Amino acid sequence: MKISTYLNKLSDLALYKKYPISDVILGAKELSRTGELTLHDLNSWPNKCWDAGIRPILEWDVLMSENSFNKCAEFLKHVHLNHFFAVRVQDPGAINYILENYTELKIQLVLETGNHNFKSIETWVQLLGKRLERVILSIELPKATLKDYLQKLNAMGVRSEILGLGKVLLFYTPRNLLSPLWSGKEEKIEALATGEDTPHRNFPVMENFHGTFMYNTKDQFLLDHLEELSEMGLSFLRLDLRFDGYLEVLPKIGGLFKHFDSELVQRIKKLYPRKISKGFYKANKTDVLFKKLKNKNIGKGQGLYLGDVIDVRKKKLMGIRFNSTNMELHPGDYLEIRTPEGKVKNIQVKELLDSALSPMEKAISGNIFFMAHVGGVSVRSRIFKEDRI
Amino acid sequence: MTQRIVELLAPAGNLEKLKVTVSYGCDAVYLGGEKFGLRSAADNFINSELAEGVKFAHDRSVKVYVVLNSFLYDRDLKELPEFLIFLEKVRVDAVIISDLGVLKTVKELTNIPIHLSTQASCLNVEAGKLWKKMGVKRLILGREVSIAEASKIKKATGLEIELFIHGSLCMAYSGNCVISNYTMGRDSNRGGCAHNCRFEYSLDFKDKKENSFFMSSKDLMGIAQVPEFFSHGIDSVKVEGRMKTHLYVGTITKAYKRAISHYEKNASLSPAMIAELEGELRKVSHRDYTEGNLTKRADEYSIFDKREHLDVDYMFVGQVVETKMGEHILMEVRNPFFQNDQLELLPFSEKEKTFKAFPLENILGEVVEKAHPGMLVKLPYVEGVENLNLIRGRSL
Repeated sequence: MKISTYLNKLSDLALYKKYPISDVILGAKELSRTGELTLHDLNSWPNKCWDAGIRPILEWDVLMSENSFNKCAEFLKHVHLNHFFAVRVQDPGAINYILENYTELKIQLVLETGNHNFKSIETWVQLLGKRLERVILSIELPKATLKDYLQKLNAMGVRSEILGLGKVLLFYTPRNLLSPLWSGKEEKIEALATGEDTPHRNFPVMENFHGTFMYNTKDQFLLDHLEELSEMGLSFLRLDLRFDGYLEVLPKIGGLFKHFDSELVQRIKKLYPRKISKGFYKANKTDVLFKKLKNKNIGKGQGLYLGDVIDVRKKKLMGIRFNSTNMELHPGDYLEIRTPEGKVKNIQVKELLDSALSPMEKAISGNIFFMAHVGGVSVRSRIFKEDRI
Repeated sequence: MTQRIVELLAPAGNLEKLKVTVSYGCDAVYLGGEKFGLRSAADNFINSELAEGVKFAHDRSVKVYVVLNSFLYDRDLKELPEFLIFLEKVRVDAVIISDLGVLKTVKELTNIPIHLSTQASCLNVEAGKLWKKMGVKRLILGREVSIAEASKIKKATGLEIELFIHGSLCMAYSGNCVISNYTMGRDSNRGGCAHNCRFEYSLDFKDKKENSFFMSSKDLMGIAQVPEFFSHGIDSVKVEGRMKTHLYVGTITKAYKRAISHYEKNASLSPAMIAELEGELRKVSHRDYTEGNLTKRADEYSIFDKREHLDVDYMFVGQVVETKMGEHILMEVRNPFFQNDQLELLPFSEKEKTFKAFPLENILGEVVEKAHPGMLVKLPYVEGVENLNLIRGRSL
């Protein structure tokens, strides 16, 4: 397992060379969400990277509406792309543009958003074919899933990368959300945001040329799991070293890669300037709560759903909207009534009435009909027909 | 003069709402089954309702598109084939997907046309070309794309183009927001969005602090841009809001249908008519309106910066469930109102009709002073009333 990271200062190359950093990501303001390099940097730094034995990767990770895309494509014409080992892209437009216009350039495909099933990843891999240098996987994939995917990717000869250390992007918009609140003229505006009714405080928010970005309050930190990730077959661990004090931390990380030492991990944690988390590495249960979003007592999926109670005159009548199209209801039929509170009432229909309270021979789809109120049944109760005579 | 037709695509949160929006004139609806969509808390459709909804819509020449635009896990993909086979059997007109694994599965198992969800953030010509290679028939473009940009994408790809014209807007690039995932333990891209962008935040700028709803977007309203949708060859305009009320879907559908039909016939939409329709759109609950990115990049005025919805003068008092010509209307009450209140009936295509809630009776024929949600009431018959018509009243 190798390390990839970002290069923001040319002077860092000497340090990176000393530690086992194999790839550096170069981001320019025009192409990269948070990049600050100039065109001159993009055209002069790659050779220096190669000289240091480190592969330069061009970051083109912005999402672009058509007009923005055209500006990026124009900018790209001035970049010496043949000096780069690969280009890193997420926008499908950038993917297609590189595939069709720069036929020698390798692609590092950012699949960090979604792509939580292997079929999706596999389809991207097939689409890019030999042009694909690696896939950058989502950090929302839990360990067990990641392990499975890495096995499959390795079997296909596809390299992989995940974020092992760094800020976790939560939100990305092209709109300028901070500048309306800020009188300064800076190109980059930063703030810490704390939402109401939430225990989470101080989300880093940044606005720049490309819009506004919000990050998690805790950074991703997987250095405890280096050995495990390596055994699982991960090709690259990305470390975002763009924080104060990285010069002190990097040698220790380099040491970890040579010989894993859990005490050293603890020392790195102490030096790291922000709060850290393993995110979803251990488990991802972000759909467990879904079942609680709905009242399961009034689900319609189980049984012969007929309709809903829409009016209750206690101890007298209840009105029912007949919704189902494939059945009829006659006096003498049996019903199961499920209330929103979870009560279940089983009854036999004695009489069906219309809105003039005259008897009906039968009720069918689209009818509003009435019958004697059943104690405990309220509006929004579901009516199911029982399959018995 | 006849212009090419722009499809009006409306949300159907459940079977009732489908019938409402179809009756008020939409050309197509989109809806979700019990799984695979992005609205976990919505009623959604069980299979039998979905089949009935398709029949109801098709009987009226209205198309039905089914959302499968959640970012699915492997285990979800295993459950998908059975649902896809069902969807093909009931002849839905398209499925809406954002995940490549879902797209591949749909193509392997069915011939159902594929629409690319806005959730996939397709924003430019090159992206359109790539999705065309993948076999999609229609691109539902990201809400960051202008009408003019959308037109370029259409010309370059030859694909059908759908743009949002009305409703709530995500502030983030769709599919690129995971705030709920990390802060609420709810995957926003699997239907669990907790709408953290609508919260108030305290912003610390080092040397000053501001409280702001800085991530909350105003709602999109594109009624004034209807002519541009036509002139740029946009195939379909979409209304957001599967979770919204019957009154919302009915009112919005009716207003946009009027605008589109008028433009089709006359190739113009007068400022007076736009103002009138905007007035109608302001009668449903909303968070101020913006044109979003339809004609120019959304600016600071597109930020709502307030809590929740504006108070509106009108509320949804109920839906007609039965009519007895010359006798009475039977209405299911959705919000309280009083006997003698002035109510407005919204016919499917005619002008609104004002009438007095007198007499007001319950189903037993007893006079009631106040109608409550969860009851049926009899109201005086109004000429032209039809089943499923909506009735609104002044807010209390």
